[in-house]
Amino acid sequence: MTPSPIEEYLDELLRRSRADARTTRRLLEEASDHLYATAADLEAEGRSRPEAETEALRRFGPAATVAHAASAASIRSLIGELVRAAIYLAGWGLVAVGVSGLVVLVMNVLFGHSFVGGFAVFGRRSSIGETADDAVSLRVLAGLAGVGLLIAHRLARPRTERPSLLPAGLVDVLGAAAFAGGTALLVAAAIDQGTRHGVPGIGFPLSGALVALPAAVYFAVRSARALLA
Amino acid sequence: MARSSEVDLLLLGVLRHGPAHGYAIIAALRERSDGEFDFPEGTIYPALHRLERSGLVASDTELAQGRRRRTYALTAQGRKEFATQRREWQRFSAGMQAVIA
Repeated sequence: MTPSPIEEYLDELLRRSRADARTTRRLLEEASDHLYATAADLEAEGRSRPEAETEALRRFGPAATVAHAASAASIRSLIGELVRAAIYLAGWGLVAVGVSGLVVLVMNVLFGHSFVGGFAVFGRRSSIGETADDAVSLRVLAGLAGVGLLIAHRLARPRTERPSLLPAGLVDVLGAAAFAGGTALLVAAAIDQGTRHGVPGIGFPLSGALVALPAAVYFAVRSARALLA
Repeated sequence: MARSSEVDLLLLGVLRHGPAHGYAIIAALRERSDGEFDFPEGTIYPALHRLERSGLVASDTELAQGRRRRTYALTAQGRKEFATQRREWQRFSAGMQAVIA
């Protein structure tokens, strides 16, 4: 049995679509509904079935044109979501840097400036205090910038709830991976600092690791929930 | 052929009269424009999806003659956007008319 022109058209539309799965599925459902409804109306006006289907397809437009329009809209939305995800992760990253600045503040009080600031080079002891204090002020400033990014992310959210084009949990997985990687690097730096120079300066990377680790756990739990939901 | 911003305005203009599915939207466009807007019917679906992603329309499915059919409706934001775009279009149209008349 020869497939109807409408069925062949829908196959071609599916082959040509470069949109995401959800958009493609919806487009095919709506195209099918639209084409069969048009053909039925034309048949009711007295056309033969093949004529009615051919005319319905002519009015609907070439599959390439429709598929291209769907792909363009889908890609624009995907780029928008990726930009929002990048802002979200950058915001959390900077907030973590800010919190690590507060950890440095506590370390400075508890263990003295050399724990974060390191050791004096060529007798410049003031550089120790400067480094330890800068680690607080600059990191807290970065944290405030992070809060700003998170507020911007919140304000730029879509006004209506709609399913994301990104795979479930992807943003959280990326967040967990970034913070886990950061934790590993900072712990390695702390160990390196400790083995080469002893305690002075070890607080600089350690303060970051102390914040990156719980952040990695937080994002890992969120991603596990999203993937198991 | 209408540009995408013009297609958006036309779709919002049809939907301000009430929720409709794609087939009915096309029929209304053709009828109200006396056949002037006769672009490929299939291209309105990507446009409707785009409007939905922008939060200007919302969609829902309903069963009609045994088939699932998606119906689109203007959101409050869509209503506001339509009013803004219509004002701009009317201003532009009046300006053009004044020059070429």
